[in-house]
Amino acid sequence: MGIKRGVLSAIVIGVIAVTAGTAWAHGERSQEPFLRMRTITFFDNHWSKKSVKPGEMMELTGRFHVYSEWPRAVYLPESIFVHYSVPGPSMLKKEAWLNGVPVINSTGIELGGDYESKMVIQGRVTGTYHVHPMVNIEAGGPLVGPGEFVTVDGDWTGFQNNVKTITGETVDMERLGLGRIAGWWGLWIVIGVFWLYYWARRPFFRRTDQVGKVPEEQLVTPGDKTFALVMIIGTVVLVGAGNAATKAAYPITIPLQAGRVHVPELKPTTAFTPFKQATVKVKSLDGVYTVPGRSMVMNLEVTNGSNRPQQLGGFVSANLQFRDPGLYPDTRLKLKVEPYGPIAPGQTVKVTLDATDAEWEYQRLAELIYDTDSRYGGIVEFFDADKNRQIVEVGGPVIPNFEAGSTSESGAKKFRRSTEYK
Amino acid sequence: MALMTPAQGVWLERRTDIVWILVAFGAMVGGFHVHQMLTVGDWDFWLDWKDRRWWVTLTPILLITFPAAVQYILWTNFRLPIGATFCIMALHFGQWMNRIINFYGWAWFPVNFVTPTLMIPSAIFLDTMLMLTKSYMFTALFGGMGFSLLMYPANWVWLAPFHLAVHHPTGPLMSVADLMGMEYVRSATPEYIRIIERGTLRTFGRDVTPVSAWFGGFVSGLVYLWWVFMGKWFGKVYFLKQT
Repeated sequence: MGIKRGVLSAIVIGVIAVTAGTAWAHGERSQEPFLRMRTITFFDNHWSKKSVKPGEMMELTGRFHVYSEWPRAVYLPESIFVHYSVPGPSMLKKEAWLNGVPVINSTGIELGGDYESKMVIQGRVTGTYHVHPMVNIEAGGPLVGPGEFVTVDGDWTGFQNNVKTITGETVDMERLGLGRIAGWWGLWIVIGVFWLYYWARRPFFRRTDQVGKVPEEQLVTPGDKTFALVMIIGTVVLVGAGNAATKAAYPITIPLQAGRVHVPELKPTTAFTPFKQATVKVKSLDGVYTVPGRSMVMNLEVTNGSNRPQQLGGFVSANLQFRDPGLYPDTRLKLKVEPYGPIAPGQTVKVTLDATDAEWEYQRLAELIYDTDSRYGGIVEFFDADKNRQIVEVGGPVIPNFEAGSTSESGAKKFRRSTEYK
Repeated sequence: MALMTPAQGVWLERRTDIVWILVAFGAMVGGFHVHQMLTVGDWDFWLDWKDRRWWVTLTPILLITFPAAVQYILWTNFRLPIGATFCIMALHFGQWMNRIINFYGWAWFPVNFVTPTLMIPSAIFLDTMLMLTKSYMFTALFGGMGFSLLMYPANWVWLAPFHLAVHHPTGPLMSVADLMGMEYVRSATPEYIRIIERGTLRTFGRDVTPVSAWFGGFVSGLVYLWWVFMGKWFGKVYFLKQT
């Protein structure tokens, strides 16, 4: 029976071991669609290198927009941490910037705000990792942007992470203090083992019968008391002396830093106008998601309040960036805009956006029709003749359509298997 | 087989003692370590959580628990003043296994970043206090206080180098511990969840550590008595009435 059970266990464990795949990413597709569409919208992300050596630096830059109509299910982003997601400290975060401000500790962001982030990352442990920009929301959890594989290529044996202190010493953080740790821990472990051995060398269980029956002095002798007195005094003296010597060795130390920094709003430039300063205004009329066709269609009312013609050329939501192929011929995810072309200054136009692709399914965004709050969200991009860009929030209720083999509007046969898009 | 000679009996008794000590040690490694991870948790895991207020206050309060219960059992039943040291040595064994195999071996955190809180001096103090006073009340009052007061200086000997100041290239002043916390990323541990240096002990300025340790010692004494009763409860032998 025992052998049979052992064989069965071995088979089960073997099957699991053989069939288990490698975890390549961070489960970002498992986050509910409304989280990815209506909280933080990541875009313009750029990984400066796809391969670094241990010790070599790379930059992860990008922008994110904080959705105004923040979902009620998530705490407001009053306290956030700009971060990136990798498996453990395989790559070190050397610098982090948000709108030009260093954000080593946590900060806060505003609804409707736009932010430019930059992180300087150093390769450390050899391997290939999926690196995502990430914003952690206090009491809300992590929101991850799109990921790219980055390889740390080379031997990391002997990797050093040196830093210079304000008192002029250069220390290697990989090994700092190991001598002190080994020395003091080793000393106290020896003392602790000695104290245990002093008592455990005597018969142990026999004492349960002796307690209360034999004189106390036989169980705890005067010599034991003297030894205990030496131990208690010695412990206090050793701790005190070690502490005093350490204070003398390190006279200038500072406490842990727990400050917060304020990050100002992103200032508009000629090339990029954030949502709050955008002169193009958009009213979302309705949205339809056609399940079989993996097609999201939105009807918008656009008013061009700028003094230049503006063309709607992009829709960004949940880490997907759909672009008008007329403006961006190389775009992987294509956006169809009707009526097509620039909107004149002062003009108000009803526009239909058709973002159709199997990515909706592959990224598990089609699940949005099962959300408790079935509303879509994202940002649309407007371009002038010089490709200067404004971004504007869109969003509203989304109605599912289950008509087979069609997109929401055209009915064209755009259905493709999601596996084609991996 | 006829029973053995007296010498063989002693031999068997010692082997039995050793087996039970090892079993108890293993059980304590598991039980106390889980307790420590669930309660002290991040304050013990990470270098950049070991602050002057929360770490100093909470660690002794939460770690005097098992030692108090085991002290009661070993002192009352065996007259052995080693309960606290036994628990803490078992805890440290489990912690170091965890930090070296998991944190360093699997997740690549430097060992210095995940070094646990050294509690052996505190434990020896608690054991010797019980033995010298033979009183749980005095051990709670003085031993609990010493258990807490000894923790910070006993750890400062290895912690001090990580509180050297660094002027980060992007501008801020940081301790080496802060810098390591920033650089050795923990994706699921964003900076804002650090509960450090928060509170209302603001009039003590830089001398907040002794105040925190003193408060920790006071509460440790109360928790000690509570867990002595836990030991009494767990260590009680119940007999069924003969019908």
